[in-house]
Amino acid sequence: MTFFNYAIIGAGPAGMAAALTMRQRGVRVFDVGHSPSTIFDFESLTEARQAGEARSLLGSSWQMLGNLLEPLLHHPKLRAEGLRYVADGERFNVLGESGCVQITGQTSYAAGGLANAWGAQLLRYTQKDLDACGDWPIKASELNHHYNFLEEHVGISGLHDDLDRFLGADSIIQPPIPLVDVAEHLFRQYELKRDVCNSRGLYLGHPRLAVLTQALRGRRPHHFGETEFFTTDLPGVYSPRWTLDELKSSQDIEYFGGQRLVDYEEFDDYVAFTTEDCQGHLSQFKARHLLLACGTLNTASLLLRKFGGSDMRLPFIDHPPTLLPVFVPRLFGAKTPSRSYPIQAVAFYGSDQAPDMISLYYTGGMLRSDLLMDMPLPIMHSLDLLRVMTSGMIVAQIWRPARASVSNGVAIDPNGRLIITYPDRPTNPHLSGIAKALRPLGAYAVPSFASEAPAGWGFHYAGTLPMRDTPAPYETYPDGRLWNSRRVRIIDGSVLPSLPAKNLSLTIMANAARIATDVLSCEY
Amino acid sequence: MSLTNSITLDGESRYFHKCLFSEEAEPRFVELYRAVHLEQADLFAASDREIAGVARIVARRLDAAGIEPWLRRRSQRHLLSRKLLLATYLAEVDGQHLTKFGLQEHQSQCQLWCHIFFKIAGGVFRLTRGFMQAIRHDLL
Repeated sequence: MTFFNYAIIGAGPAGMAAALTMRQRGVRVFDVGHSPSTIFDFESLTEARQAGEARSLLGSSWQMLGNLLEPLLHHPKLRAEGLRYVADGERFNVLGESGCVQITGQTSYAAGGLANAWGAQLLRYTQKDLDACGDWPIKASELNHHYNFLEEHVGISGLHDDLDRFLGADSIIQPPIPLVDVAEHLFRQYELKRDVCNSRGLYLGHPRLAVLTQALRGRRPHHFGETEFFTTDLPGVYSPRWTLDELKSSQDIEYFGGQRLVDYEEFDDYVAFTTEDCQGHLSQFKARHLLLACGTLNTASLLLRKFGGSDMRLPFIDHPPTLLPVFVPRLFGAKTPSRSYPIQAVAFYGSDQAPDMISLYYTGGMLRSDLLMDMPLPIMHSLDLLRVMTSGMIVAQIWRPARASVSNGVAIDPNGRLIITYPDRPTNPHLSGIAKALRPLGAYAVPSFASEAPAGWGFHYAGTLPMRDTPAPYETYPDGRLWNSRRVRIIDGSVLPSLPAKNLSLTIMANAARIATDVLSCEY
Repeated sequence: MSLTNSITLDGESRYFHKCLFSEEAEPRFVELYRAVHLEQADLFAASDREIAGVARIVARRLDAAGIEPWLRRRSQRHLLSRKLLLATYLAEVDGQHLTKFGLQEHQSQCQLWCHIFFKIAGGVFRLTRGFMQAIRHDLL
């Protein structure tokens, strides 16, 4: 049985943040490591449309059309053939308030994890965030050093603006992404009407994105070809896969791909763990410390099967957003750019303590046909309206703080499938206020047009093994150790005890780096 | 797929294309429409009533686009909705309908808003006609 000091399971954001921290210290990374099986040959969506190769966009087996029959079969970001590999792991069902299956999904076994399909917003949590959403046994200041390190590694584009009060002023950032006309209009109007918007609780600013506008570490700037819904082969958009490639290439880690963790056993001096490859062959290893970065659901599945069985249920937090179309009539009929990035602007709304976060998306990177069933008119009239309205339309994706609820949890059902029950999915009570706050910008929204994404489609999974100062069973210490362990640490989103409205990705990474740093200084 | 089914699908695709885009379909569009049905037949599984309804719409040359939103209200993915949506997806990516999906330019704001008004009004008219046809031909 091969023995090492440190073993990390998983090559997603948490695993790679930990691996970066532990590089050149004899760390081994184990990962199933699925990667894309197709190549998207076009640099832009416009080019792809003009080429007329239908299967390049819709999939060699028409994968994009899967939602014809079931609208919620695949998340829009995971529908294209080039993105299917991102979520082809263990299957799970999400049951809503009625107890019926709302969506089915799959965890990620991809090298880079679900982050391959993220929107790439990487945002710091502040102490205000942690105090407001509650239950955090660590301070934000404990993450700052790791935030700095990771931001420098990843490359963040954005601007220091009114959102510094929510996002912090410490980040070193590249120039912001280019904006489409409707976003530029919003910012111009915000300059003129700032006081009015702020008095209505709205603060607008540039997004902070792991999207390069300048070359960094051998990765070129993003081309903004609107291909994010069709491929993950985008060097200008950060994926933990790029870090994995870098660490493997520099031989700072040893990587064992094609390996899925099936079990572990802890002894006084080491942890023995077993992995399985795609042929079902088992391999056994020993490590002084085992860091689990499999992703919230994969880690939950592993531990439920190990300790709990079908009688056990873990808490589960997600961030299912509210989607609200916003119209800027002044921009109707304007030229639509052929290059853009989906997230154009970000706003915070509500109380200073626990605001909602609003990501404002431009729909240029989506097929127009994706939007037609949401409009009540005959299809061709909807299409004709979209042709003039797209230039003046954005979609507000609104996130709220999320805490554990007694009703919401994840378990293994008697058939061995992961089941998430999420009946407590509050609707957003702020839509009218948000619509009112946007009006001074010449942006109009009708709250009744909003739709609530189903639970499970926030993809901000957390809270299954929350950090506590004094953990109960199925909880973790602030240093990531399981309640019953000395040598097994959980470093993925499982341990985050609650979520402010912001994206959790950078905090998952920083927390993983923090725990990895602790492991390096561990005396046993 | 039988020759009869193939011919039916070709006729269907041409009819739906005409309903949506007021133009005859190019052979490539017809070919793609048939290919999706052949390769992903499960996407078009439906009750006998829905299948008969779609056949009736095509045979009687009813306003498929005007009827569809009413069927969509009953069942979010009625067979007709799926087929029309398929037609728009194929048109969007086949490289032959670029002007239908690209920006429509207008000379002035007045022309733009007139266009929007008439599109909405036209849509309401189609909906009304579609509803009446749906009732008359026992589609709802």
